[in-house]
Amino acid sequence: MKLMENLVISVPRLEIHRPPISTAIVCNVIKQAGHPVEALDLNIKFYNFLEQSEKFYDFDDVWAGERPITKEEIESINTFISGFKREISQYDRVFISVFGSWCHMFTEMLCKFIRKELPNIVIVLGGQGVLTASIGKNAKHFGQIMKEANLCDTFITGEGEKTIVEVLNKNLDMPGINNVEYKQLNELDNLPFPDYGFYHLDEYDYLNLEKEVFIVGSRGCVRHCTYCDVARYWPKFRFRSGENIADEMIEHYEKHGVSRFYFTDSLINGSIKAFHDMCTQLAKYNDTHKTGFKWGGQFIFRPKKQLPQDHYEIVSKAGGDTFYVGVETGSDKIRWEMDKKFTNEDIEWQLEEFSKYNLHTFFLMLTGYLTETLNDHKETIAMFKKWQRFVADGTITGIDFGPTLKFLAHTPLEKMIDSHEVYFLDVGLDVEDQTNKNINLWESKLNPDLDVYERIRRRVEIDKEAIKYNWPTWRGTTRLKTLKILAQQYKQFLSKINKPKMTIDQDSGLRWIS
Amino acid sequence: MIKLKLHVTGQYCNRWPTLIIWHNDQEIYCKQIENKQQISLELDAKNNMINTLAIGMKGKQFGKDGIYDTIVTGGKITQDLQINIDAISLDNISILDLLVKNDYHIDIVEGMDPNHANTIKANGELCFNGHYNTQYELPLYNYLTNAKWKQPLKTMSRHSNSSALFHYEEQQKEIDEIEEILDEIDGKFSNIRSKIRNT
Repeated sequence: MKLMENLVISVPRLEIHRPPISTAIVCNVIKQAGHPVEALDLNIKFYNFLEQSEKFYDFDDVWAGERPITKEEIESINTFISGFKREISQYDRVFISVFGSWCHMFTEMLCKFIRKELPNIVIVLGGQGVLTASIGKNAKHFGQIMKEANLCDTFITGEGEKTIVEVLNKNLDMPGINNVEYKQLNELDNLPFPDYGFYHLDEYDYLNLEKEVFIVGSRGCVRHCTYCDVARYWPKFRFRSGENIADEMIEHYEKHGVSRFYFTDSLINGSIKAFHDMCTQLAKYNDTHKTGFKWGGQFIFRPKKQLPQDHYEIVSKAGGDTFYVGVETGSDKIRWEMDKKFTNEDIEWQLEEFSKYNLHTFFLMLTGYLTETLNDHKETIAMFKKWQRFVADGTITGIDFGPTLKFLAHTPLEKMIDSHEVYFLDVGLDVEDQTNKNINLWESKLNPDLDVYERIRRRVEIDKEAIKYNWPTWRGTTRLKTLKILAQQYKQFLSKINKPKMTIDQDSGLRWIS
Repeated sequence: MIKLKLHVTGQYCNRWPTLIIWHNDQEIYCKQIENKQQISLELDAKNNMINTLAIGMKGKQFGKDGIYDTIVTGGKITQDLQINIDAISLDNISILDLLVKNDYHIDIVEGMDPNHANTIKANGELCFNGHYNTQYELPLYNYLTNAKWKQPLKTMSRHSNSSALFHYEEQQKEIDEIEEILDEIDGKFSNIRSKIRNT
């Protein structure tokens, strides 16, 4: 006898500093459709299960496909999942939120467990990770792979707010259900707010010991950066009105005492008008209620002429705090080729404004771009000295270099594989996706100076320069450990090759050197 | 040269207060401060040593020659000779936080209780004769970044451990190991790298 109808599950790897927003929305959608629902956050529970946070983060290289999973890690995950058998068995149907490719392996293990131990439960997969796939022609997306393996009954692509209701009503012959023909929603203001009442808000590892939740202000992006796959999931940029977003933040403050927020938007200021309107309303509310609002998210620097006068003063009064900006490189030329559409001059003006109004920024970098020359690299190197004063005054609070450039499916960059004569070094199967080859080591015939060696060398040089000028490198050691794995793979590959030979994979169309 | 900038406000009582600044134990400024003033000085900073900066007030009288630079009426201070440091920066980086986290050292002068405290915590107000001390080293921004933002390293239950910022020891180890691998590749496999590029 089932007690409940629907269970909405979040799976690793998500971050653990805030409750998950996507499933908080799904729960509210199901509730508003009149169906009983509960939530289970296996991400935060896995974090707590492992006891030591380092172990949780040790899995990152596994989720990212940088190293194979160990037997002990497989046992650990299976033990963890088994512990929820009784709880999951209470439900007729589970909705599993697959946030991205980092959730694939855990999702697959969970679905295998449910199929074996609880075969009567209906499994529905949703989330952006359903659509992610390997690069190359004819690559299958995760939802399709899972459906073909009978590891799910239904997969949902695109936004779930309307589609989930159709699934609940068993109308499965619809766009976005078991197909990729999903339709984007045009109006976001009418959608239900996420309901965090389904979560134990005290369970999370808040960064500042104060409750903090996610906010979705927009979906999609106004830019089409060449390396980014957001346009695959949300081709059209849609945004909520500034007033609607401010209303939601004020509701979380008044209902749960939450005054800290993080926006999930690709760009929090994708619509300057909506962003400015939101800030204006929050600044007014802040002035009368002394909320101590603090919020941030991903942001784009813009040319000065695009912004209203006193823009950043209002952002500051509204509680704007830390903004994560894809600066990517110190080279205007490369940033332009990435389609970012802002210059070093724009960055510098914005840094001055941020400094003036006590706003903070965090640089996200992408080194070793496909067309990067040594001169471009030198411009990135020059950045550290040039903007060091903004580190010293606390305006720049972090910089993350990431690993070097990787190709993602469904990006403009993927389309450049042919035009730039990119080839991959065949180091074997991808440790995350055992059906596809590892694509981490690539080179381009059109930019022969930037071979794998040179890309790693430049990446290391950038780190050294950041250290020289005392920049706040976040996750510096972790990123370098990943880079070291690349260097080791590369060395191993070179040691095995005598006469390199290029072949073209007929299925994916990719060129391989072996 | 390092640019020192101050925004100060002098409060009148019998006369305007006198601000005095020493750099590396040399007096570099000594003037009366009337109302709000901005002061810009250039500091001849030395490499490879700790440069010192002291900022204080002198000349306030507590009864010497019958002069009291604090006037109390009806139990309330109605006039007081003092200077407020509103802002202070080195090469455009505020050091007010670094300055006022140190004690203010008080010179005991004629008319004051000889047992008066020698130091007080203040928020940039110079109410007694005496001075704040601070220091810096070159390169300035490296020094100030550490002084203002670097925290003792803590083992935290977080991936995003902010206390790890500016502690580069582990990063440096990884860099050294990667460079060793790159050196080996450079030494052993340059030929094969060329072959791959030419395939």
